[in-house]
Amino acid sequence: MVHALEAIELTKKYDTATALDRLTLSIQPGEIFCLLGQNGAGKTTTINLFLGFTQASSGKAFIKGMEVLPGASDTKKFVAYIPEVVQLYGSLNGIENLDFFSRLAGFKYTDTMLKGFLNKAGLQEEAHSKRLSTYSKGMRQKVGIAIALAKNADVILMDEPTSGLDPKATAEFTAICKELAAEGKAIFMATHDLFNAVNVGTRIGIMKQGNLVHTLFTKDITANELQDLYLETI
Amino acid sequence: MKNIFTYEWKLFIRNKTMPATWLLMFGIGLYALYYGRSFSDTQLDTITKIDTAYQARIQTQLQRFSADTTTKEGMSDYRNVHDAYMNEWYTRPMVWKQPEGLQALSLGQSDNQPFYYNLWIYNNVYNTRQPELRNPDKLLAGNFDLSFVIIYLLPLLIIAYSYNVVSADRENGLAGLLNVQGVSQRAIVSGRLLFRCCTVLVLALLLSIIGIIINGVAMGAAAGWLGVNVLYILFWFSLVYWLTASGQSGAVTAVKLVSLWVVLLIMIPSLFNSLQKINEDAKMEIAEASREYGGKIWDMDKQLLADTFLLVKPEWKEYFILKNDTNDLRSVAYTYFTVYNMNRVGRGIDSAALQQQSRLERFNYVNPVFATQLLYNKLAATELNNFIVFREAASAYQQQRYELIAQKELSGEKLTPASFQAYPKFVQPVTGLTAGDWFRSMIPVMCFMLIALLLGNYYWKNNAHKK
Repeated sequence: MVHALEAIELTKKYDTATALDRLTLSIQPGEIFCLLGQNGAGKTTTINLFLGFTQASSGKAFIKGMEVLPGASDTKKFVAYIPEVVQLYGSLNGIENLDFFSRLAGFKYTDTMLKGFLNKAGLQEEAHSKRLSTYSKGMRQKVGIAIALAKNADVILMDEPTSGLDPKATAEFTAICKELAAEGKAIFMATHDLFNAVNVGTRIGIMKQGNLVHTLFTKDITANELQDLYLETI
Repeated sequence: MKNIFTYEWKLFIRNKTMPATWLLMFGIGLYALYYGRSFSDTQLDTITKIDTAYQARIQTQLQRFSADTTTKEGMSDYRNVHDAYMNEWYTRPMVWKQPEGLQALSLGQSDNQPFYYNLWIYNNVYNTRQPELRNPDKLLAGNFDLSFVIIYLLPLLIIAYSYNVVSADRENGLAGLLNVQGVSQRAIVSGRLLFRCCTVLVLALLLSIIGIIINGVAMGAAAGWLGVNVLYILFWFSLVYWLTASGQSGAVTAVKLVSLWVVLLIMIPSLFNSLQKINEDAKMEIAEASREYGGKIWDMDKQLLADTFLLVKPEWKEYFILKNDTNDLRSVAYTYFTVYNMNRVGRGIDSAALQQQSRLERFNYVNPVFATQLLYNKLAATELNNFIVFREAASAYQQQRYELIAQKELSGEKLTPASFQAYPKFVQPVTGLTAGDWFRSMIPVMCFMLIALLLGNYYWKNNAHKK
């Protein structure tokens, strides 16, 4: 079986510091894997290695069975990415931003289809034609989700996507993630939000100083138990 | 590429600063066209005035062939006009360098070099007072013509447009999202640079075409000018491509690009100037040459003077009748020796200037910017060479007239209206550039562009993961 995401002994060192130490992990289609850990634990480094933004010191990363190489030109077509803060072009409106990124990814959608993606991401209709410079963080985050939806990627990597979102926006975001997972997409999410991780994730990993210390299924743990485990671990 | 162009256009239009800067530069370019045109118009007005006065003198001389000899004044006019030497004295022929259409776009040395000469018999083109400088600051900043706008100001616009073409995405938090879309960052950046290059090219070509139309520039010269525009702007964008490829911050890249601008446009030309040895005594040498023979000739024994003159001009022996008064011989000999001597010194000075020019051209192989400026001036026929060629043509024309007059003077032949009107006419020297000259002049620009592109590719390949 081909894993959606796979890391084998994946290591990243910066001079003497080890940001990620021999990570071995696989994530299946339809799975939502939430990676927890303190700042500097290696969550973003893991995502950057899967995206090909940085080169591994040793070990290998795979997306749908294809090795991620520097630049990752072959594996990028399978991946969508939602950063912690979605920054887009302020002088373009929501539809234009979505159209631009979709075209870069090789998709040419009609306005109706673009609006459909924005609606699905939860962005209110009246905001579609407004310039991004007038958007709140949550609204920009929704355009980022729409970009990921429009790319129709099998793997979605998210770096603290709910950071700074209000509870309603977080709930909407959680619903979208579950919907995507139900469609067979694999989601890998780095987050600090323990309660949301339990709520949205199918599996959870806890990292400490570059090491994946625990992996567990969310069905086997409550939010409070996870919190205790997390605090013990870090 | 089409997608990038579409959205670059939207971003360009909606970012008010960019179109405003473009329009400002367009306005500056229009002013430069006005400035150049105004300078050329002043020269053309001067030429019209000179020509009108010269034609009036010719008409006056022609009327004197039928002067009323019953009056003392009429008799004097009649006698003088039939004397070739005296006729030349009163005619005072004028020659001028007809400005090319492109002069208004690239004034070059037009304000430093004489563009007309009074070929009065005792005048010497090498001893002509040069026109007053209209503004001494020009020596520092150059004329505010279109070539100045393109050479000096457009690179600043290019730097302002493009210094952050790579870093802006990273600095605005867009790099990750862009990088994951499947198009290489290099393709996105190349597309953006190409779009920005097009906006600057449109600006330069639009201004040039306006200048070409209003100044009635010939097709060949216009094509040469437009071609230089394209290569020069591509050269600057190749530098941007190279220096942005390292993926450093926008501020660092901007500092690097501005430093390069300073080195290419200010430091290297200044270095060349400081290496030059200028002959400050040149004017003095010509003045001395003009005086060297004066007293000797007027005091010399008539036969000795004739013998001396025939030593250097033996082919004139057949004209040497010596039946006229000694003043004829003395005038001819004096003019010949002084003019010959001044021409010799003057040509030496011009020859040194040409050598300096030749050194400058060789030096510009390491400075593509001034190689471009030189080519603009060559296309506009405002380069030092053009003025020296014109000066030599004027000198040769004066010599041609002098020899004709001297022969008539020495042989005692009276000038007639027909022979006066049959005097040779001045022919403007041809200074056009061939396609080969154009290509050779652009070699430094093309070589540096190629090197910058190769370096850019190298950095893109080796630093891709750092961006």
